[in-house]
Amino acid sequence: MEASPAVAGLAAVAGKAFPTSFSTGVRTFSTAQAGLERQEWFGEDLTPDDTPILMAWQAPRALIVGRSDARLPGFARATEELAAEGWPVLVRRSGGSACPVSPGTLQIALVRASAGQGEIEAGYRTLASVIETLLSGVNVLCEAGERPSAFCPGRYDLGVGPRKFAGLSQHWRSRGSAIVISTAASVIVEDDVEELCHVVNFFYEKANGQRRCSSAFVTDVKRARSGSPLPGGILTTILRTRLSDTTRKPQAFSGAG
Amino acid sequence: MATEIALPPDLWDAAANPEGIVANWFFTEGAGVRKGATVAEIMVEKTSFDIAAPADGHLHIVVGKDGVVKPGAVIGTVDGG
Repeated sequence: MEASPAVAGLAAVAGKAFPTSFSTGVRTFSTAQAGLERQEWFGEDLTPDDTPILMAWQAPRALIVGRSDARLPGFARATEELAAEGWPVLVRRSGGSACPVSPGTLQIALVRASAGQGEIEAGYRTLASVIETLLSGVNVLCEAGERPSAFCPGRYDLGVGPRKFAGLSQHWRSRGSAIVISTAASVIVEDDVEELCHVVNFFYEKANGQRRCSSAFVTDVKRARSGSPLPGGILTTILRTRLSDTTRKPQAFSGAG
Repeated sequence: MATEIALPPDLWDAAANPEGIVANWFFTEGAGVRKGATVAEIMVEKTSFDIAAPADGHLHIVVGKDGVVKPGAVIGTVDGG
């Protein structure tokens, strides 16, 4: 399996972004189910005149799959076996395929309402820029571009070289004449990427799905970081603090604008 | 009378992403659906669009799962009552 040759810096996907504000800080949920439900219905009262908002959260282990994954012939068996291994399987509304959540990952969502034409790229660019800004403060350079052999691959994968440490997806739903757009990212901060990839492959194997991923194309922010090593857990604490601090006030992410 | 389930012509920017796919139908052919229920999911660039039934009635699928669509496409109909 080979990485996409199209991996590029964020400048390659730059374009119009929009300012965001924050509302909830970084929350820790007792289950990933609670976090996912909160994320999917967050911003339900937004109007197209409102500033988009960010939420971020962490939760215990779970494998979050796409709606098409839930229709695989062995889905029930895969769900049962993974739950027994401590990986409950949840179905999300946003696009893409299976992606693990764990205490070593950060979930970040950007929610906005739109009255007009849907522009897929704007949400991706803005959230990618949020993550780029967040990680630049801990000496990590983000490169955007699909890593097709990583799990849940997409054009807005973020990583270093051929290895992905974050992925983005979106869900659009109508609410009256407006569209509520949720752009979500999962960032692997510090975790055992071999195990994360094993869980994804185990799911598709048991569910009779065709997808597979390789840990050779997945990394975490801790390994992607340059500079002196940090003790375990410190990086997650730093990123949580930075995320809360930088998003409590309105931000214009000029890096993507 | 049949009501078309048409993708909004400006649902996404076709210049940037020319085609999407019907990722899921959440009801089977001929099933009864209520106006506003999410009947289908369209996927473009890891972006999932919920498509709602435009009326109460029985669902008829025009573009099946994994079918390729463009903005404005009619993917199904709902026969009244």
